[in-house]
Amino acid sequence: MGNWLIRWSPAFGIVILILFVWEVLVEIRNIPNWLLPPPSSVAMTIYSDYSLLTVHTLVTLEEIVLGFFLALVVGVLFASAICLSKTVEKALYPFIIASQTVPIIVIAPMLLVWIGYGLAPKIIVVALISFFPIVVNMVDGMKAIDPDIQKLMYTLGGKKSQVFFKVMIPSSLPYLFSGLRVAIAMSVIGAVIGEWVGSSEGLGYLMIRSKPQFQTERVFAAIVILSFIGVGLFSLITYLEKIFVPWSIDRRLSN
Amino acid sequence: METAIYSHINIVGLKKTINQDGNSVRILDGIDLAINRSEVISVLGPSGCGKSTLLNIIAGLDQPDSGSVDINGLDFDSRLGSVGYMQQKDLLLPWRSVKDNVILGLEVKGMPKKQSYQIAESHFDSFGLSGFEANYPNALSGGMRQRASFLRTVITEPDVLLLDEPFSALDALNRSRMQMWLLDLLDEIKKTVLLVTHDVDEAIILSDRIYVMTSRPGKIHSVEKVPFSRPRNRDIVNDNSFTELKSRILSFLWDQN
Repeated sequence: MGNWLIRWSPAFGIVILILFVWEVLVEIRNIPNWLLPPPSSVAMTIYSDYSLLTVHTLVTLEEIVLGFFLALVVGVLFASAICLSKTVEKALYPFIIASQTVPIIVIAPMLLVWIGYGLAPKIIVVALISFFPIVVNMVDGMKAIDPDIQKLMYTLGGKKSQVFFKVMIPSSLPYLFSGLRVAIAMSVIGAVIGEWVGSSEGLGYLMIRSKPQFQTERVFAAIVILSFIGVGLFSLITYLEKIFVPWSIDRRLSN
Repeated sequence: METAIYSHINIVGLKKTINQDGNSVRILDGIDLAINRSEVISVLGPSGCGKSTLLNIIAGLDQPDSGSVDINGLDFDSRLGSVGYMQQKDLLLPWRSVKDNVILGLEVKGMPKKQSYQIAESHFDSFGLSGFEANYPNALSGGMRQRASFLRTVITEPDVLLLDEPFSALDALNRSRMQMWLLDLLDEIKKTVLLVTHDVDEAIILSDRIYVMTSRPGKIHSVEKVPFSRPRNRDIVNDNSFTELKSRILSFLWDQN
């Protein structure tokens, strides 16, 4: 724990410095709360609106996690199909890339019209925004394997399916995890966008509702929570990488 | 010995042309090779003489344009997976421990894990891998990686071993240690071995006969019989006939390219 604090002390230092300057400036300039609340009142809001914020946080978290898993499953399936078949690659890859050029903010309201108001359209927005880095990274990983390793597998009597499961999948895992880290950060954005275009719960909804009521502290409280969700999930993925991809961490003769 | 009927591997009139940047380049131009059972032969040649292509064809990875390869009557399709082929790089899978790397061949053939671990266990000592079974390859020295790769190749007990410059990535001292180690191992396991190398010393130390190839397009220039019996040791390098054979082969190779 001590090590951890020391390692991230520069980040903490910057946060503390920014909060301090922010607090002091708001105080000196006499900026009203509805325009820019000082960090202290944002903290007070998080404390006093604790139960309200928890309810909406859980909703957003659910959208993020479900959308992310959908992206993971679809992304891995697409990447596998692309790597196993040249025809699928030619048929599918251009559309996957094209799908990213359509702004998600345009698609989100349409999803609302097509599928309705509930959880489903948010999950789809999250998945749409986060499956792209997953597919691209995993495809790169599968294609990065040494052709001599394929030769090795065939000379050992391996079949194409064994090359896929015993070589292509494991060697793509470090790449997949890079994609997952990008994807998890984007899925937080996806959930907020999904809620902004139409919802009755979630942190994105809470922000949309609080702003016209001049409850700017609450908007900032939601932002703080969203950043914690982002950093937390990002760290979780890094931790999972250490478990699932232990060989990429340098293990020396010591063990 | 030269007059014996070569039975184990018979290669006749092998030709191969590949397409390189739109031009067709002849790689192999009528290769004839005949190898006895349990014989160790080397194929020596300048870089780019098609040695690796030759091994790919023998292993069943590549088809020749014409000519035939006969190993115990196995046809092209059944050679793949029954001939042990050790490539230049060790190609250990970084996500598998040493133990899981060496059993790869047994695993793809469907042997239960427990049984294949037992087989691997019995070899670790003679392959100098004891104590490192659970390590990932990145924790191993170059020589150990090469030995692990070797164990992976022989653990499935193929009759024929193809070795493509197996020690070229090692420094001179480790290379010569590995050559001695391999010399002893081959005396023990008695396989038919085809070793491709461009190290003349290595070829003489390890093999019974040496096929010397010309530069591209690759043809067999001559077949040299190594005048040392087995078991042998490193002292043969001081022998006059070693020096004589070495300088004869080298003077030909120098004139190539």
